[in-house]
Amino acid sequence: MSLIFSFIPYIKRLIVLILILFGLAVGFILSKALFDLSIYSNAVFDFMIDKSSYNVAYFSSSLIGALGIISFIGLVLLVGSWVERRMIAKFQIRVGPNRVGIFGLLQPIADAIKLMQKEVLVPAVADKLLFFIAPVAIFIPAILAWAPIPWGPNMTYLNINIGILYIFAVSSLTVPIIFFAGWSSMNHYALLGSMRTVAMMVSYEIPISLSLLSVVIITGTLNLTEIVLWQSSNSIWLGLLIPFSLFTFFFSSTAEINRTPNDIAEAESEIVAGYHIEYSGMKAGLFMAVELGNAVLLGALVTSLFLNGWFLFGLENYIPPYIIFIAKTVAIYIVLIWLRATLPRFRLDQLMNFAWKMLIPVSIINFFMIAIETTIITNLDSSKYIIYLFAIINIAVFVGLIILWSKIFKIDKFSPEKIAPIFAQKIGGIKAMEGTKSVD
Amino acid sequence: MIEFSTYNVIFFSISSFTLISAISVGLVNSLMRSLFFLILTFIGVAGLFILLSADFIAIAQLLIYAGSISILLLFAVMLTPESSTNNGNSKYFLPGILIGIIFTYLMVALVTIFQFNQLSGIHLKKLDFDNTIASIGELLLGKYIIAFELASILLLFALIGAISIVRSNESDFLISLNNKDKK
Repeated sequence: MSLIFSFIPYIKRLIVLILILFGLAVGFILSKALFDLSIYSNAVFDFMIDKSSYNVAYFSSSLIGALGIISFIGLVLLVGSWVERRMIAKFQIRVGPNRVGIFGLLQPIADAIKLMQKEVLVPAVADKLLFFIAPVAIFIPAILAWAPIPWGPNMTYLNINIGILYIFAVSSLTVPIIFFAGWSSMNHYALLGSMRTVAMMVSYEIPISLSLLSVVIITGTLNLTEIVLWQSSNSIWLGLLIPFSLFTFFFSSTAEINRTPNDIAEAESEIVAGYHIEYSGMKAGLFMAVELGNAVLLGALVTSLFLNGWFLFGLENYIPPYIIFIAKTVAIYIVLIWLRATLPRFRLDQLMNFAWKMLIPVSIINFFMIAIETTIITNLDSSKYIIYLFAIINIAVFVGLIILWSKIFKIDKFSPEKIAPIFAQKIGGIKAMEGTKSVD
Repeated sequence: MIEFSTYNVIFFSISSFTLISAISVGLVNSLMRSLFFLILTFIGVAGLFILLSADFIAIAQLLIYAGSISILLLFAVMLTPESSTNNGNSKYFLPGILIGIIFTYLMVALVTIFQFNQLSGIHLKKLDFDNTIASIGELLLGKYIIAFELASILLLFALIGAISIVRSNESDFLISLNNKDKK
């Protein structure tokens, strides 16, 4: 009897092990049936083209793809906040949300219901049209930017030749929307917060474009699918070949999507929260949801640009490729959560200094180096091994440049008394709020 | 008579969206709202470019006009007083209308004189290039290299000029700081 009792603590683990094995078996069977999701869309297309015209068939099959992507985003928005809160709780040695449902899995739904029940307060002097449009409109670029993501072979929703430019252009549309959100609140703090965010986003677009430029120049294409295929045909991850571009893209994108360490937009513990200070209830929830969705979008972008997309050392022949893609995306998202739990916030001037004095010059140097390497690769026939040599050189130069910039040029030396809004002072300051009845 | 096809439905919906937002730019009172409608107009024009299968120009329109020029205009509007109040009683009302009429006349004259049939998308498709980006890049760095380089030099001048305007006189600034300390 005592032997059986001594096994009881292990029974829970045994059940978990059996469940994992069962899940693996079911997953294996499902992965055969759901290996290539594009056949279902093609089947719908073939079915509809018999019944009706080409346009209707094209529309219905594309609707199915769009529904797939949007339902994935919805799933991410539901589960993502739970994952984030639980993981941050683990990092901070807390329990985290564990009351609603098993492991607190229903917590996001409870949060959403709470947010919807809350009253949406509109300031009396607010610009009603822009105030209502901004939180809705910020969703449009966040969803549109998912279109050219390559989920797997034949599984790119919008396989266009200008994929990177498309994502860059669509995501740059969030900047005026954020400004409208801050301005239409008619609150000084919201206006200043939105100015802060816009200045940050505009300056961090330059390093992002420089890092993407190095990706484009080395692969010779703007198509995301072809970039993934280039990486697999040269059997190297671009993140290893051009590590500085990966770092620049990742770090600058955290500024674009307001994540730690660059989430000065929502620094409500140090200074007042940013452009969304006047939003309450579900409208604030929409801004939060967009931030979460953009974090996962950043994961998908880093995966397809730098981490070889759906390829994983031959495993893509056995596991459905989009599962590998989503796994890499979630891994990047978990890195973002890790950063959020670990790093403190940067001040705004530190952020700006880092962008303009470190990231942009080093990105330009990196870009010229990659241009020279690309000419060597394209002019040599046996480029198989020289790429690995260049990867080692690039990593060495990456480390060297960072040491150079941090130790010798010392960009972290900062003198606060030298910074003043000189141009705004000369022309009379910011007068947007004059003539309106202020709230405070 | 306009035939009822998918292309026409899409074209007329996008063009009506663009026209309505373009008219609203002039009609709304708040400068901020008119800027919002201006961004909508830029997006609509980008949609028209996509319809003409000029994908690169459409994306450039989104990137440069809707994404960047609008930010410039936003900051410009921020520096004007009465940006949110009634903007209809402007003293530039009559000149604005006159300039608008002149430009409309010029546009109509151009459209009627220019033969778009010769250069429409159907004829371009006969040229059969699969990638607009590659052909644009070859043209920019081949045939039009001098214009391209001149444009980049112009942009460099603009950049240096902006920096030299904003840059403070270091000595003046330090003197003012010292005066503050003495007080």
